[in-house]
Amino acid sequence: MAIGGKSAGAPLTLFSTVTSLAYRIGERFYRQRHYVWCAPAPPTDAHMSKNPPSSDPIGIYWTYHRDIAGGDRHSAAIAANRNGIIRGARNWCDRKVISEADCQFIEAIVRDAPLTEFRPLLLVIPWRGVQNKIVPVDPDRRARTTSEEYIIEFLPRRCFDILELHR
Amino acid sequence: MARRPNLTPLKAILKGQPRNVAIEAVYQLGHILSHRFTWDEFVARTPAETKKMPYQTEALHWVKDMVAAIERTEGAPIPDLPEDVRVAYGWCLNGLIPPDTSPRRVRQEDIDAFFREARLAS
Repeated sequence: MAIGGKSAGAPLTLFSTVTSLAYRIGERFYRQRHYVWCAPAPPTDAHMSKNPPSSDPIGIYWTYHRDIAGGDRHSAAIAANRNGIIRGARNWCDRKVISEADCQFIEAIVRDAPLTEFRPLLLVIPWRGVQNKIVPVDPDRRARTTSEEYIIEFLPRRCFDILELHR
Repeated sequence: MARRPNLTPLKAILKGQPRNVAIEAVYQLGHILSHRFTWDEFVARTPAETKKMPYQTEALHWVKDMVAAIERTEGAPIPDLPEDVRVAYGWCLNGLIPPDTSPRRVRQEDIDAFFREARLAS
């Protein structure tokens, strides 16, 4: 089955933007496994559809960066990331992956974390290392949306490199 | 930033729900707002996550009600809402999560140490 890719076959690489806080929580509490939304590189062909900004890892990266650099305490992106990390902790706690104490700790950290803890990181994820870990969206249903993105629920640290574009 | 949204109708929908349901509902509602999904588009995306816990499936009922409430209040479907309105909702959604009333097992020193390590690492 071919999943993703703008042409025939699969993409070479997937990209995902995570915050430094989410990354460190994954490293420490989820045994170096990370929950990520990811997408292929945007097409260079102007006739091919692109993901909307909310599903474009590079765009998301710069949104975080802009909000942190501007000291935007009302950043919706960072608020969503806080909610996402809390939701993830609750989820893994209810599945007995982490303890209730760890779940509380994560939530406390997330609520206390200053803007700078949400520094963006771009994960570069070679397709071959994760093709069996990707949760595919039903193609019939995916056709109803324009975005091409995937979820990897447990992405091992060994499967990606990290870039910081703004340094 | 747009005017602060009125969360009262959303709080009424989540009133009495278990905390994990509220956390899940807030997360999913934020996802809908940031992606400008219609309800049908959102439902089309949900199979992308495997093995939902029962409370996560239950939360979707309340998400649907909250989407309807926002659309009623704002007079437009989510995809048509101006960005500043969607951002304003997204920013304050965590106010819908009830406080954790279980016995606290977290020490402030440990939280401080976590952030100290982060500063050293970056």
